[in-house]
Amino acid sequence: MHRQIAILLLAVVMTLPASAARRRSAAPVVSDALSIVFVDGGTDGSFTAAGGEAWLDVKDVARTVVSRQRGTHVQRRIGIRVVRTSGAATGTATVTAHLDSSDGRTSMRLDGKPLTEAAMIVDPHAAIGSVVFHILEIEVSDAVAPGPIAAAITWEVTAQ
Amino acid sequence: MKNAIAVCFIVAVFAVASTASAATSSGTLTVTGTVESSISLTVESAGGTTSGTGTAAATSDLGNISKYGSAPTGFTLARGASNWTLSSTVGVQVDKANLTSTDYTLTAQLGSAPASGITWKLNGSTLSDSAATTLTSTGTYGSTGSYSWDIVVADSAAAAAIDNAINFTATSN
Repeated sequence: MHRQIAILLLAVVMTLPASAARRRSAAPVVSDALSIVFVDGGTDGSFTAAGGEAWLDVKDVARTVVSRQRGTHVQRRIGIRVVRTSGAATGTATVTAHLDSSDGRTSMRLDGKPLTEAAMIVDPHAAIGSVVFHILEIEVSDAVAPGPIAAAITWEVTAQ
Repeated sequence: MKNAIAVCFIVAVFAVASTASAATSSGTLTVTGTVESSISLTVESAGGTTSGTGTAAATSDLGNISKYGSAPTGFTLARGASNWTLSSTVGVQVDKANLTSTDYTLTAQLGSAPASGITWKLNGSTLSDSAATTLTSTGTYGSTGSYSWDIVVADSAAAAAIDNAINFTATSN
């Protein structure tokens, strides 16, 4: 008897995926994939976004006379919108960011926190579908030689 | 048998958890720009009732001045036979950023022609509104250079405002 029950349970478990597959094939396909949309938070036209890629050109960076602090500081507002492929604006996601690459000529802070190669939580509960703006600060030391600067920041969203 | 059932349920629970695993996605923000060399000049101090120190546009108010009156704040007054001199100092600081230059040249020039009978001097050199006067050609970045500032008033000068501006220019060497 016990053996029969065990066999029956195993059979039920083994048929679960098949049943689910049948349900999936019968129901409309609703993708739950997430993606990041970058939103320009400034007005200087130096921001370009396409899909999950964005480019911010801070152009010429020079220390101004009004700043008595050492180094040159550039600040930009970057908007992040987490969207579902399905278009559903429900739920929340965790947004993290890390420095993917850098020429070492700048240091960056995101919402006041140093940006490093280790992922940091930018927003633990970002509402999916809503734009949340973040402040990116770029600091150039006075000792850095003039010339181009480049860095890439990878943002990752995880559904909760 | 109980063990077998338990295993089955664990497998089922993990299967569900796996199906509901978090969806993730990533995006990349590329940041570019160009660092430019720069220097900045600030007026750190000056005689008179001064405002705007620490910026590039300071104002010094001497109030009403006269040969036999009191010296304005921060000035001394020396009376001569046919003129009198108000003396003070002006502190100017030049900072550099992203620049390999080791020193700078500082010049000064009056913003407008001085009133008749009024002579403006910095570091002992008479200033004019037509040409810049070199105060130093080996200025040190990051430290305040102090320059003597004299306003010489002839006794024959009319009683009137002596307003003027001293324009400083720093050039990296």
